[in-house]
Formats: sequence, C-alpha cells, structure tokens
Amino acid sequence: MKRFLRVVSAAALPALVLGACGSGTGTGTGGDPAAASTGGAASAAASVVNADDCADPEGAKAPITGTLKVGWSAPTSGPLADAVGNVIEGMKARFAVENAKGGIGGVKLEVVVKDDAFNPERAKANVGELIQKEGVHVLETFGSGQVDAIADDQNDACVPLLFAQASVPAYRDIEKFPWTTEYLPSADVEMGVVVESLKKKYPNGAKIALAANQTESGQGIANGLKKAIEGTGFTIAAEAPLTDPRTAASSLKSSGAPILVNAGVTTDCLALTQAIGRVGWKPETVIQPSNCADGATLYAPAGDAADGQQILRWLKDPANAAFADDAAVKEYLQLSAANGADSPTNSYTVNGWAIADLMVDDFTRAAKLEGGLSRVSIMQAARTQNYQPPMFIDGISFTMSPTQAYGVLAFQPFTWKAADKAFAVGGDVIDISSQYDK
Amino acid sequence: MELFLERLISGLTNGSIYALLALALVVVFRGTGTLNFAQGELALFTTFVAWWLTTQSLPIWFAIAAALGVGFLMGALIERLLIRPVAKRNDMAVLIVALGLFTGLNSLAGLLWGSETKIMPSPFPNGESDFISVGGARLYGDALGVWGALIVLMGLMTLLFRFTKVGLHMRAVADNATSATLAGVRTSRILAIGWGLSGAIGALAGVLVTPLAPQQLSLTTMFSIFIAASAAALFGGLDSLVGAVVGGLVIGVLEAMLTGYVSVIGGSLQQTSALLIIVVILFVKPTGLFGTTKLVRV
Repeated sequence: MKRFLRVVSAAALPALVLGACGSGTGTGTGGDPAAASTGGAASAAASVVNADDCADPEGAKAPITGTLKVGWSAPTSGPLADAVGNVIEGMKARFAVENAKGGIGGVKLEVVVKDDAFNPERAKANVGELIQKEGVHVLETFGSGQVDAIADDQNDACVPLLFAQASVPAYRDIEKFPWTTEYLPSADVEMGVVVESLKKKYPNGAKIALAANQTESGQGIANGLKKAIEGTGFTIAAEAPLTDPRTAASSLKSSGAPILVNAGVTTDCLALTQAIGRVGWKPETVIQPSNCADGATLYAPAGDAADGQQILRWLKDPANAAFADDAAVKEYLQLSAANGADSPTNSYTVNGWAIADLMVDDFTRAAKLEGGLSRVSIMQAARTQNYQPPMFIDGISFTMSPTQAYGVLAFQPFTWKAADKAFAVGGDVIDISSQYDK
Repeated sequence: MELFLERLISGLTNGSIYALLALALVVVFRGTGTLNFAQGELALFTTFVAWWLTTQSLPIWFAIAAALGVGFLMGALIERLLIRPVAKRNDMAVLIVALGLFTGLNSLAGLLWGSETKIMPSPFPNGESDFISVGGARLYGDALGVWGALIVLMGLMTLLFRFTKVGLHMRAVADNATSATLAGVRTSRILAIGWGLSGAIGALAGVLVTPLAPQQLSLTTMFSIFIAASAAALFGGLDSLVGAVVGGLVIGVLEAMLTGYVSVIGGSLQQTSALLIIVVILFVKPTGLFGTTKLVRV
C-alpha cells in the first residue's frame, strides 16, 4: 500500500518530472552526465524508491566507498556462453575506461561474475551469494527466467537490478518491483514503432501474416502487434506457430497477405526466411524482430530470400558502413579494443558497452544526490534516467521516469541488402515516446 | 491440395530426419541391447567436425566421410573405454554414463567451436531454384537427398543384419551375450563395432539434417531431433529397422498436420500431441509396431 501511494503521488508530479528529465540528457563519455542531476527528478524518484521498506534501510543508504561491485549471474557456460561473454567483456572494457579516469568520484567499478548456466534456480542461488558473500551493490543478469527467479529476492534485499537483459512486462511495474529495471525494449513499444513504420508504406492499412513463436518472448511480440494495430487499417489475416517454420510458411502464404511479421526468437529468423523462400513466397514486406540483428548468421545464409527484410535497431552497428564515420563508433572501437574486448564489432559487445555507459551515467548522477553514492541513490537515479549512450543511434535515448519504465521508446528501421550482405538505413528514427507517460 | 502436399513433404522430410537418427539408436540396441542417450550429441559433435573441415576449404563430401570415420571411432572408443567397464556392474550405470556423455559432448563442442550458430553446407542442391514441383508444392534437392540417404541406409542395414556374419553376430550378442560368447562370437569386438556403426550413422544423420534444421548448427540442434528420434525408435519397436523408419515418418507427418490443421494444439503442443498418440499405440502394442516380443524360457 505504501508503494502504491508513492506511485500515485509520483503520478501527480508529471510536470516536475518532465522538466527534470528534459534537462537530464547526457552526452556520453565525452560529456558530463552528472550535470543531468536535478533536485526535481531526485525527489520524484524518492517518492517511488526509498529505503523505508528495506530489511536493512541503513545498509541501502550507506555510502559506497572504494569499490562499487556489479554482480552478474550469467550463463558463462553452455550455448549462450559466447554471447554473454561478449556482453561482459564490453561492460568490463567500458568500466576500465571509467576507472582510468578516476572512477565515480574516486570509487572504482568492478564486475563480479557467477555462472548460472542459464538455469534460473542457479541464478537465484548466485544472487544470494553475490549479495551476502560478495557484498555487491548492483546486480545484472541475462534472461527472462533469471529475472523471474531473482526479482523478489533483490527487491526484498533492496539491491538494484539494473538494465537486466530481459523484456518481461511484469518487471516494468514500478510499484511491485521498484528495485528492478530492464534494458531490452518492450515488445509493445517495438511493435508500436513497427506499425508506425508500416503506416508510411500502407497508409490505408493492409493484411498481416503473423508467424509466432510459442514462447513468452514470441507471444509478447505477437500480442504487442495485435495491440498496436487496434484502431488502424491493419488486420491479422493469418497466424501460424513457428514450431515448424516450413509448415508455418505454407499456411501463411495461403493468406495472400503482403506483410509478414516474425514474432520469433533469434533462432526463428533464418529458419523462417529459408522456409518462405522454399515455399516460393516473397511478401512485399517482411518484418523481423529486433533481436535478429546479426546479418552474417541470420540473413546472409538465406541469400536473396532475405533481401529487403526489415528490422528495427536502437544501437549503432560498428560493423556497418553506415556508421563508419561516426565519431562515437570510432571512439568505441578504439577504447573497447584497448581495454580487452576481443570482438568489438559483435552486437553483444556493443550491448555490454552501452549498458555500462548507462550504469556510469546512473552512478555519476547518484553520487550527486543527497547522501551521495548508495544503493538507494543509484536506484533513484535509474528511475529518472534520460540519457543517450554514444552507441545508441542518434535521436534514441534510454528514458525512465517514476511513472514509466520502458527505457527504449524509439527505433530506426534498417533494411537487409542481400547483394551487399549488409543492412542499410531504412528510414528516420521513429519515436513513440509521446504515447507513453513520461 | 497444394497446401496439403507442402505439409506432407515437410512432414516426410522432418520424419526422414528423425528416422535417420532413430536408425542409429536401433543399431546400438540391436547390437548391444542399450538405448544410447548420447546418440544425438555424438551426431552433433561429428557434425561440428564436418563443418570445421568445410571451413578449411575441404570438399563437403570429404568432410562427410571424415565425420563418418570420426563417428565410428568415437562410438567404438566410447563403448570400449566408458560403457564396457560399467556395463559389467549394472544397466543403470550405462544409462548414467550415456547421460554424462550427453552433456559432456555438448560442452566439448561448445568449448572447441563456440556457441554461436554455424551454417553447415548441404551436400545436395538446395538453392532457391533447386526443386521439382509436385502438384504445385516444391520438393527441394536436399529433402530428396535425405529421403534417398534414408532409403540407401535402410537397405544397407538390412543387408548387414540379414546377410553378413557381423550382422548375425550382432543379433546374437543382443539376444544373449553369454550364449553368443560360448558359441565363439567375439563379443567385445562385436559390441565395439555396434557402437562404432551407430556413431557413423549418427554422423551421417547429423551432416544431412543440419542444413535443414531450423536452428542450423548450434549446440541445441540435436536435442529436439533426438527426442523425436527416440520416440520413433520406441514406436517402431527399438529393435526394428523398418519400425524406426516408419516411426520417424509417422511422427514427422503427424507433427506437420497437427501444426497445419489443428492450430489450437498444433502450436505449443505439436510434439506432445504426436507423442501422446504414440503412447496410446504403445498401450495397445507395448513392443512397438514392429518390435520383437521377448520369449522367456520357463
């Protein structure tokens, strides 16, 4: 009830919050994100997150000195080891840059990693150890099941879980999970942008064929699309499960829809493209989910069948010629390689770097709040963050407020060019933040 | 009609994939009386070997031949070094070793080649125009290749078990190893050959099915295929080559039809529904469709 009242009171301060967030846009590694801190934002965040409900309020408010530990529970063994290894490398490289500059007001950043083998139960055990034995100040994890397993514990312990590599709608509920934020974009937001993008090509609407993975992620995207087309001229002409991509392609082809939306996970992207090619179907527009960002493994092997497929991105791709002259990308490539990142052009490494950037911005602003750098000030700063990491595409920020926890509310469309084996910019950034209460 | 044919072709192709791996399971069972839970991961490992060889600019057919050789060798060594020492104690120990191999081989493949998805080239034509039209549905070269490989393999296995000395000895060892030994069969050699042969068949299955698998070549590629292949082998009767093939094809077609025509259950319960139907059949005929009924002397 106390949390609910705090949220209601926060909702009564939109003007204050908007003003605060508007002045909070950072400028990346070269800027001074600390300047973004404002008393208005802090007080609004304090109305949502404070230490009163914590088992150890004094611990949550205790100033962090010496070293700030970020504790990871991540699958460093098993099929996801490479991907998550790159994320962690990117984060460590960005922290190394910050530490070389003196850290956060003299506090050095350290990453502590425990392997959960992508097993949520092990993640839960890891988090217990990270909090109690390692004394970490911030947590990070990879996977929806992992967040499910640890969210209650870390909220009870009042240890921030920042920018979790997941996109579960439940954890965007600020009232229930005030100490948890997610990094990956919401499927609702992504599909909202997809529909805005489709409106430009099909102003009167059109039929959509929907291929849906049966997991929570796939269903989230499918439901996001259905919500986004409400009140528009777009209709779902056919929906098929992606359990067998070939059967799905056959079924959807018979709908005659000009648009195909893949509500799938990463492994579905190439499989669906190959399947539609094999049944001889070439929809006018194919939309792939943003998690299918790797051109070399998910598009190039399909040859011409993938030509013209569209995805939405929020991160700059250092391997793409479109960003070859981008100053932030050049700086990133130089600094990440110099600080131990083996695969700086890998999208997971970029993600790790960008998340670390968001953390540095958060910690820097937290240190300026009353009481200085502490777990509670870190969470308050996270709840009022409005910052564009340099590796985010220009015009896209990570935006949080005491009444919304979506983070990424804009995307840029990209189109796969089979002949060039690369993505090309497919349009301007589409920002739907005005549709969400900031 | 075109839609039905497309689903039928898709089901038969998936079914052939299951049947290939099911044949490997049956060969081990017929030769040694053991269900090899590590069969899928052994196939995965040898497929990684073949993929790695293709990245060294070696021809795909050479890579396949090498994978078959590695598969045979690994199968025989696994039997000799891991299975045989524990088999003397009890059957449960063999299952535990196989489960250990399941995770161990997967981890080893990840350690050697990384966990990112790889693209395994197909030895058969699989370009966008490499198909023949059957009633409007497309039948691609690589699907035909898998069907052909299954038929050839089935024929070779039948010849082996029916008309060769090694095949006869394998059947004798599976039926009663002690009696076979007393009759002069070199049991240890036959067991190693049985496991080696299944390793080679699994390797062939792996390299042929991976280009068709939705996951391509990744550490998870063989898991769902192995589940379906095990079900196919059980459905057919574990010791029956024909049963493995029929079982694989039935499961593949059932899955495709359920997904296509019964969307209410076809999405999330596709495999479960197919397996449920098989369980019902096994209730009626516990030894599977083509399995041999065990006779006990009293």
